[in-house]
Amino acid sequence: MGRILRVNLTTGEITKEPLPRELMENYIGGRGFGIKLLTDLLPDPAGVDPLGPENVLIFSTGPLNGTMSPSSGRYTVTTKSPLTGLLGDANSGGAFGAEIKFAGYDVIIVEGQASGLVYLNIRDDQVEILPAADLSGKGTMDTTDILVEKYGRDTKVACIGPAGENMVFCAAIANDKFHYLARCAVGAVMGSKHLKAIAINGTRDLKLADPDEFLKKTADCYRKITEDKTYPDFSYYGTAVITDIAAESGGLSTRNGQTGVFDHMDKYSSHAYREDFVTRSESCFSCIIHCSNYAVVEDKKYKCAGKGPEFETFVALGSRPDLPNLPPVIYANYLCNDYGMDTISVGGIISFLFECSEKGMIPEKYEWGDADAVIELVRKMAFREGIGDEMAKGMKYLAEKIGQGSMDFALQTKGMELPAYDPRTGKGFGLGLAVASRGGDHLRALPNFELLSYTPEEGVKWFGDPHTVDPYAWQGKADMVLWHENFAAVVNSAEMCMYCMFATYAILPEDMADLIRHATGIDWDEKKIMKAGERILNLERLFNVACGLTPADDSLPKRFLEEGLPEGPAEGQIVELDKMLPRYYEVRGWQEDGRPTKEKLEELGIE
Amino acid sequence: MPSDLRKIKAKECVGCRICELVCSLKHYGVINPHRSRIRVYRLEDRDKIETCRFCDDPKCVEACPTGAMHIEDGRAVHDREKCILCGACIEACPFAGALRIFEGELLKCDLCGGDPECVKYCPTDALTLGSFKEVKND
Repeated sequence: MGRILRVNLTTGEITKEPLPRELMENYIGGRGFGIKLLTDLLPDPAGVDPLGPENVLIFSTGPLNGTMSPSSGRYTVTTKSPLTGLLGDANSGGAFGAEIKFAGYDVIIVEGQASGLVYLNIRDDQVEILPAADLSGKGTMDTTDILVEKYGRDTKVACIGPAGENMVFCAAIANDKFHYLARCAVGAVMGSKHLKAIAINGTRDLKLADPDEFLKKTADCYRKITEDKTYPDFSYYGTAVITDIAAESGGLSTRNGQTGVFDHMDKYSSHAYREDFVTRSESCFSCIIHCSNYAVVEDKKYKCAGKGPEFETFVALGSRPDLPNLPPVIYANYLCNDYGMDTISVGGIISFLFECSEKGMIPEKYEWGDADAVIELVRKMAFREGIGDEMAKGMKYLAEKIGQGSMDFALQTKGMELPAYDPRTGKGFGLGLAVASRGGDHLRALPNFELLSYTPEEGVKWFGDPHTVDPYAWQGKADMVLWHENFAAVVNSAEMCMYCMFATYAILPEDMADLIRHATGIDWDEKKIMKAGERILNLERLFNVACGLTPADDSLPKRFLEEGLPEGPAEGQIVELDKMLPRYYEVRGWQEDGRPTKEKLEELGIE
Repeated sequence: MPSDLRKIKAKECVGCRICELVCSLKHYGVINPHRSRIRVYRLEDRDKIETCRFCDDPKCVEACPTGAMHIEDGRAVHDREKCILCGACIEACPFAGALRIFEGELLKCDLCGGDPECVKYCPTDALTLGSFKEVKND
């Protein structure tokens, strides 16, 4: 059935192996495949240098990739992260994931390290490692254009830019020109392997176990998604609508999280952005939502055209450094895209540095709102020039170096820069960030349930506690986060987009089980598939513990734990993490040392 | 031939490519964009739809040496049995990519006999059914 393509860049060896059926039955696909294969390939991860040839880079697809299943254009890259020293994975949309399937593979494992810069060219069964000296130093956009020009317009490209080649610890892998595997510095690992790009083109048939039922279920899911009340705005404005929501809740992270009230919302609203800059909506492969946007800036100083910022970037490169206008934000986003960098991390580090400057902790002088400084620092990070060389090692490293208590407002967890939404305005969200298995990230749990004005009765029905619908309450949130984490693992492993579930609750575990069952013939039901999600979470935990993670790492910066928001609707709010964590460990079946209990592992069938 | 023809508004296309998937599934029982009689290509800031336009005066029929491409109810229809894969229709067609050969078969849209899957599943107004005479493709 499925196949794994293995490419060893040290030896040049290329092999194709059958995909073990038990892998599909226990780990679904995508993210689940990633952690299972990573665990098997790196049995002693603590000793693995993330940038050494011994690390592996796993591109994995899920059972829905390539099909018309809603929003099924995602795929995952898994590795040991140089940023956190823990599990590193990143997930991206576009059409690259589907093309891996059309070429006849489920997984591509890249091992070793090439002696010079190379790229992979995959055309169905034909796989070659080719020199990429000509592409050295090129941005992700040029690299993509050159390879598509060379191999034809059916070719899909994933590549790194200068930041990846320079092994910057927030380097991303770009695919299909405008989509990014951004988090965990997966691009730095690709750079360390001297792998500039993968060009792939597949012409194979994809077979469904039960095409009629699959199509019926797909149509049912389309209906559920389009009938949801969020659909019209989300499909028109995209994730920019979250900027409005965050501003309304007083959680639009501003001046490095000093406040959640941002003074320039008139310029940043989804409406203003859409009307002033967006020329059209774009879709990822097989997605009816089409939340992506193509943005054009005419302003001479910030002239650019390409995929516009998402909510995370409006905050990271906009409200966090307190830029009053959008053109430099869109331009900085464009630069990060072309250099191949994670905007969340880049903007986070820049804003942290701005605050260090404000507090006189560093000799450099930066002012809040200084767009020129933001753009200059983006460049310096990508090319590791001057202070950019230090910034390229991540926020935690920087805070340790600067000292003077700067760690208290370094917005990172487990070494990874934290995302946009201020967790003080959603306590479950805060817990999710603290325990996320890939470091400070929101997409591991995304418990939007607490934000969507459900009734207390619904809170009881879903998670056994009426407080779960109150964003400021901490009660019941551990159980709520656990469910979201397990479900997110299912969704990420099936490689569907989390929007369909976590912004709307339109698609639920039983829908996922139906879709995957009809696609693969594997006998999934709601219970089994959520158990698989839990299995994935626990295997990720085991990997992290083996890398040296302790319960002390399940934390948040002091700013979120002790500094109440100074103003706005959420004034005075902090994250009561210490009240939620014990219950979280309890329901997870994790010991005080952070490891899953023997019983939990046995229950999940993890050896 | 169906009394309704497909209306194509390329500007409305967001590039999801669901049309390619349902087309190949409908005609071959498998998913494979290369077998689809409609293709969508993302250009820098737009998506390009490539498929048969059902011209009033089809050049493909004129060019076909065997009569495989012929007229039924005023529109071009392809008969696989008579096709010798010479590619004359592809050369004659003014719409690049509308006709293609994949694995020994000429691919031409047949509107699924009147109820096209691509139109059914298109999430925008890029593909709709227009009345026969109103069809104006852009």
